[in-house]
Amino acid sequence: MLRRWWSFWIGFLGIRIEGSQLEKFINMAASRGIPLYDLRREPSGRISAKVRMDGFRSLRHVARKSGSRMRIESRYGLPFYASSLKRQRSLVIGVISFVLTILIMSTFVWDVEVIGNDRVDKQQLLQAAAEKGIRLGRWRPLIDVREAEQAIMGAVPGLEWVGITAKGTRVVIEVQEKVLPKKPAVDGPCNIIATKDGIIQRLMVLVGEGKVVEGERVVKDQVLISGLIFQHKPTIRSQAEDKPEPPKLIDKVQARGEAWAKVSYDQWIEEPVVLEGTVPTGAVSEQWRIKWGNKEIIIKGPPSNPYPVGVEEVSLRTPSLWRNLGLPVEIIKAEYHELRAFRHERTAQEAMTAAQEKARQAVSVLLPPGARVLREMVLPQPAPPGMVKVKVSVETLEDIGQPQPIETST
Amino acid sequence: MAWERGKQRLQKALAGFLEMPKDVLLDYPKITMIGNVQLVLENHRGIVEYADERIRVGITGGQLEIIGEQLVLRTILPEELVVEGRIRQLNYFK
Repeated sequence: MLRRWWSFWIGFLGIRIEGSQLEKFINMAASRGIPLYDLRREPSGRISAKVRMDGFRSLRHVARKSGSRMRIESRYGLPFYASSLKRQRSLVIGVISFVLTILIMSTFVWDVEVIGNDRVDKQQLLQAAAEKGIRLGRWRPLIDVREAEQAIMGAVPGLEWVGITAKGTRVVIEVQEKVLPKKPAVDGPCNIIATKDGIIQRLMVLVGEGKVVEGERVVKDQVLISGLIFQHKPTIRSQAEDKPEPPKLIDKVQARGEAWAKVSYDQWIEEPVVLEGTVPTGAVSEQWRIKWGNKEIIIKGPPSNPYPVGVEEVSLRTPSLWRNLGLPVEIIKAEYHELRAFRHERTAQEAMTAAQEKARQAVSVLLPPGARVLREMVLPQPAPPGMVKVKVSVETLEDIGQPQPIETST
Repeated sequence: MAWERGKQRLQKALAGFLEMPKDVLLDYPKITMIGNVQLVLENHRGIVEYADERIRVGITGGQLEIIGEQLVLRTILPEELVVEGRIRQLNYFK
């Protein structure tokens, strides 16, 4: 194999030998080390063979000595192809210029991408990168990646780290933003109001004036901590006057604080004693379709749902050619899952436990982070036959305070 | 002649004693066949007859005859030759 590959580069000739002592010819050629390949006796008595170009000259001597005649029938190999290509100069020029164009074009930047920016504007990053030469159509060896990273770090505020990777014709700017301290939820002066009804257990006023005391029952939207600071007058003077003067507003502040309150949630849950439903049996059959425009062709699988009871799950796949170029063809994969009906007999107690679990889940969705469940109460309720009804009361301790801006008119 | 025979006996005894491959010491041909489609013959002494259905090759102490159909001498080198085709029979001659 390797020898053949080598002889292709050197070039080889197909020859035909005629004579009375052809065995002598072969032996003489072999003993002189001239490699002959593919010797074949032809019906006419001649021998066809192949010989490498560098051995052909000495083969002439052999032919003369053994009294045989030789004719070149065909030529193979690179030197002959090259000589024929000399006549087709424009083709060669075309091939070389094509390869060169691809090589040269691949050293330019064709795509700049930004990854990891969340708050920082992409245009701003691209602008800063462009000033350091990272922009479309730029020759890549001219770009100093490290310097550009430093420049972007300096030019764009709010960045923790910048990494630039040039991969092929594409430059990816990866940034990591600084994690800034949390901003207050509301600008300007605000009150803290209650989000839920409850009994205040603990009120912690950081800024502002507490309007409720611990143990007080509050309703939703009631002001817990006020951001309006009034001047407190001595009580004697206000009693002495006929009409009480409205207290003087000193300042408007942004109230801050926590209001931990006991909140109770009531849930009425009805649960059937006997559970009925369907479960998948595990049997699945797939169907593949191709969608072109409005036409749909099934390429594999059953034409419709093969199971008496089943669900269909459809997923779409759009083949993409390159980056964002796509084909106007969609491949649709439909999976049919067989379902089996089941009936689960439960005792009333089991049904009640299930109902309680449901109630707990329903409440847990409503709870803010940090809330703690204090007490859980389950009360059976009268229910229609075949059903179980429970009332589930859950008592939690949670922070019900929420800032609300004060309107400037007040 | 007596010399020659004695030398050959000594060589054979030596080959058996040293457990050396006989092709190395005694100049015997080594034939490797892949099925009936390819035959590699090392240590040949030249081609005696060459035809489409019969090739005779000189070897040490005689000749080797290859009979088959569409026989092609794929390569021939001073020490080695490769025959391809449908080989049916191999014969040794003194």
